[in-house]
Amino acid sequence: MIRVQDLSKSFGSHRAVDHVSFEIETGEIVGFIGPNGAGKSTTMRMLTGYLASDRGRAEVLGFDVSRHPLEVQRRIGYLPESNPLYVDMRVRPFLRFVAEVRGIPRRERAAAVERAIELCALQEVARKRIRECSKGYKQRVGLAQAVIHSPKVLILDEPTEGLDPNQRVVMRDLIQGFAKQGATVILSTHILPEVELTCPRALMISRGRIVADGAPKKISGPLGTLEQAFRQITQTKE
Amino acid sequence: MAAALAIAKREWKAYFASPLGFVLLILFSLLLGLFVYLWSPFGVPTLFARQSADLSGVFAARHLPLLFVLFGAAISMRLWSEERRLGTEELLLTLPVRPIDAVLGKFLGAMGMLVLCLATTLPTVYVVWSLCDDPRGLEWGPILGGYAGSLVLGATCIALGQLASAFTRDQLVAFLVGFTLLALWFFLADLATNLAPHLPERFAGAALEVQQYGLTALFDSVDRGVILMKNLVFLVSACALLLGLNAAVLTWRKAG
Repeated sequence: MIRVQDLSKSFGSHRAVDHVSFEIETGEIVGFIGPNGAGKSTTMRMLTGYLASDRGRAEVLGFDVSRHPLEVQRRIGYLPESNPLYVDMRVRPFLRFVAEVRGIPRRERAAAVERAIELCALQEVARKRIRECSKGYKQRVGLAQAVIHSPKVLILDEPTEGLDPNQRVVMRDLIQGFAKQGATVILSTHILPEVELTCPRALMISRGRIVADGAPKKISGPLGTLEQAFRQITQTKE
Repeated sequence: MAAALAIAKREWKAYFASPLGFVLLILFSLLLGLFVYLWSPFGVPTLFARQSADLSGVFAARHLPLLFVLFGAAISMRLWSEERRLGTEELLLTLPVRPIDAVLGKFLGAMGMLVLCLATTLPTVYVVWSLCDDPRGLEWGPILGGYAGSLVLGATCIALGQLASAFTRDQLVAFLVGFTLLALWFFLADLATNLAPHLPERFAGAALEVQQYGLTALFDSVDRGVILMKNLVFLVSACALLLGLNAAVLTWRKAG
């Protein structure tokens, strides 16, 4: 499903991702955790074809990302970090635009837009300008554009960032709903209890390297909570 | 191509999601109206003083090129800089869109805005038509040729501004860079003429040769409704080259 081998990326002299390898199977929900600047977003950007890797190989659904970026992009849904949106547009026309660019045929487009609106519970704001929506709704608009084509793989960079606890629960339920329908989900977050609640598997990354991989309980293991494990593992690396 | 058209439509509408589109239209029509009816900075007689039913006031050698320096930069300044400022570039470029399609989409959206600007001259066509007392009616050839030439020239100006916009997240910086480059192109003939005497003989010839590719020189014949094949080929190739460079910048940035 997703196969990453020896992936590396540097910005100038700073090595953001350093020989990272992992595999993710169909239907998994994997939480990407790590300190700021650890390389989570860079790895996700390489998986989506937004950034090219310096070396190594990323394969999504059998397609090499660097060789066939469009094939990969057609099949994945991506919510970039800090959820950039065309805030001048209204919610429904924005989703229609994404559907059109994604090449969803004209006669299926309206249905796809309405399904995404329903899935992400956006009915109330569908006519509003995105700029006027609350943070929680904006985040759901970002998620709606990512799932509009019913992708097999969802890559979500900090989907719950800046949301209040209620909004976070809604978001979590949505993500779990997609996984239940057979989608593979990779999400990154700083909120460790969330990983324990949402993700059967966590990948911990620090200074561009994978430092732990497994069930959150297994990672926290003898160290107590995931947070304690996170602090211990990532700080000893610094 | 469908993706490019969707992007073009969004870009075009985006001009009118803020006052920008309306301001551009009003200023363009006011300035060109001023040049045609009241006063020309290049001493072209006004429409009424000339007493001739043609649109040479609109297509006078330097009026539209001058406006394209300003409006080419203003129409194109937001195309990439706004995407980079909002971070939506990442959203757009992770949709299944080839860089060249994204570039073409934006370019076509901006061209839609340019076409609207040029459409503000249609009332002048009506004025000229109603003043025309020639029994054979208006000569439409030069008018259509004038519009076609203006579109090609404007397209190249927009492609240059769009490229400038790909290097910054600040619209104002994009505007200033685009404007300066277009202004240099506008004054290319004067620059070359003034530089030629100071250059070694080998380069002096080249400098004079370059004159014919200045923004105003390329438009000279359009004034008479004639589009010289040589100029057309130059403009279309320059436009294609600039758009190709723009796509290359996107691909190059991906490499980080």
